[in-house]
Amino acid sequence: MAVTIMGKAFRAKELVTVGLKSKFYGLAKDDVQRICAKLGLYPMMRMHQLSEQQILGITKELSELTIEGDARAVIRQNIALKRAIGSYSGIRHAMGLPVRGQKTRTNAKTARKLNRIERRGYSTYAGASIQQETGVFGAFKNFLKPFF
Amino acid sequence: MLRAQFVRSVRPFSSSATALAPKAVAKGFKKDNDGKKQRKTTGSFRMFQDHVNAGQFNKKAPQLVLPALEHHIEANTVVTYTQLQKQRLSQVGAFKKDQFHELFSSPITLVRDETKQIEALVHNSFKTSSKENRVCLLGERGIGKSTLLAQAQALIVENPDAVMLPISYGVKLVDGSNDYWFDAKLGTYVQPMYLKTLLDKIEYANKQSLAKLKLSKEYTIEGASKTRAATKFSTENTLLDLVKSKIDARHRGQVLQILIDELLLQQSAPVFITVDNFGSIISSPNSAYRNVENKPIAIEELQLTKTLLDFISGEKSFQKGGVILATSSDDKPTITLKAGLGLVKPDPYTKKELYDATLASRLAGVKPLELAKLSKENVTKLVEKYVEAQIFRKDELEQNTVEQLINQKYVISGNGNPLELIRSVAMHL
Repeated sequence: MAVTIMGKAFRAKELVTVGLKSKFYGLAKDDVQRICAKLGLYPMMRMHQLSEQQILGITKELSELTIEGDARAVIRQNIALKRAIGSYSGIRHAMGLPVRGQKTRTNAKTARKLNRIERRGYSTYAGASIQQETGVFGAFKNFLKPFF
Repeated sequence: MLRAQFVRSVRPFSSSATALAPKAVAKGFKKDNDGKKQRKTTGSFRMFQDHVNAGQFNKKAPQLVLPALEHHIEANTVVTYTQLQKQRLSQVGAFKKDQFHELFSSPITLVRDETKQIEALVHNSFKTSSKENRVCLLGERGIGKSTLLAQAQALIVENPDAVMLPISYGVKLVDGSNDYWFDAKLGTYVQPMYLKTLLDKIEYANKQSLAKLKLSKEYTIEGASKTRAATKFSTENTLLDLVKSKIDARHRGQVLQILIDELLLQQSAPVFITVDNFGSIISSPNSAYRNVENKPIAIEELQLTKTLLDFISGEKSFQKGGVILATSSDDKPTITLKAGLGLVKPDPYTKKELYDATLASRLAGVKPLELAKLSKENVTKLVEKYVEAQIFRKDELEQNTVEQLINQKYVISGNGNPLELIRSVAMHL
């Protein structure tokens, strides 16, 4: 029987630490460890072993963290800021190219997929993305888009 | 083309095919012979070792006539366990899955030179304090450390007065696989789920001896909540009553504490602590558990491991008894264990993950017992019994004499490693 925490269903036999980390965007291993330690959940605890009280406790802890939509918004804001101030990494994001000095002669496929102003989250897709154009001319168009 | 299409489209009008067809059998919900339908569900899948372990293949194995493992039995003898020993050892988890016991109708074991040393220690423990009888079994993978520990346990259960506190997998105390909470009354972290299993094992293994020991004073253990009645134990109650009592999970730590305190006070029964996978307990000063501040909980803060270390170090000692530890090749290898046993001198620059001086000092006084490989005579005895038990392949038996088999298997087993020996016979490697 599945366990539901904040609208997400977890398999009963799934480890609490693994389940929370994999289903919530922006939740790291250390965050999960801290939550489990605070609530007294043992490291190998499984989802079906959680009591209602413990599920409520987890929900409370999660609600205080920047996860899911909030975490995605923070990343988008950071990228938008970089672009707005015209920094190199902002331009690279706008161009859909690698930001951290990687080569572009070949590959750079991940960057083309992910590096854009409206960067999508990893696990689930939240919100409609704005069509971004790649390449030098595309970057110029993207740069001018907010002003027109 | 058109003709071919035309021919194919014509339906054959003949009744011979249907007339000659065999009579159809009505498909029903046919059940198996025993009337139960075998269904494979998600829970029914087992890995190979678990499947073999649960298969009860020992029932099909031929019966062997072997002497029982008793005190003062000669070395280099293949023996079996008595009914009582087998029952108790199964209950305390002394038989491990990878020991190939399913090949024999009843588990067999070889009395080695080390068995005689352990026997001497057990005999000594019946008279002297546990501080004087602390030993740690060491050796390579498959050399027989857990088997020797089982033999020691078998010799212990032969004494109707002896009390045994068995920890069959030490790693389970520290790897975070059990629940935990801080017991303010005891000042340590207790593990209620593990304690339930342990207290059950203690009850099964020591029914006779615990029933003879009465409590020295009255004890009261709180109920689950303020509205629930507290459990009271009078001086008329025995330690068996204490162990059997249905105490709330949160207060189970107090039951163990009372049991240990009472066993420390009494003089009549020898008390033995046996721990397998001990290396995993001592491999790190911290457990996998974390406190509310997200700091790792030290093994000295956990009730069970602290109690164990107190007896291992000799800080606490039963008036009669012993401490028998066995390491496992599965444990994380660290210098702490060997340095504590005085086998190596640690380099002052050794990393903290590999050597903890405080923990090592807790092992002072524990005697190491390094298990040697089996001799050619030992292998001869074992192979002869394997032939009797019909675990050899037929072609292997037809093509070789028993003497040739012994020579072959001695070499294949790495000059006398018991696990490799039986694997070479049973696994057809």
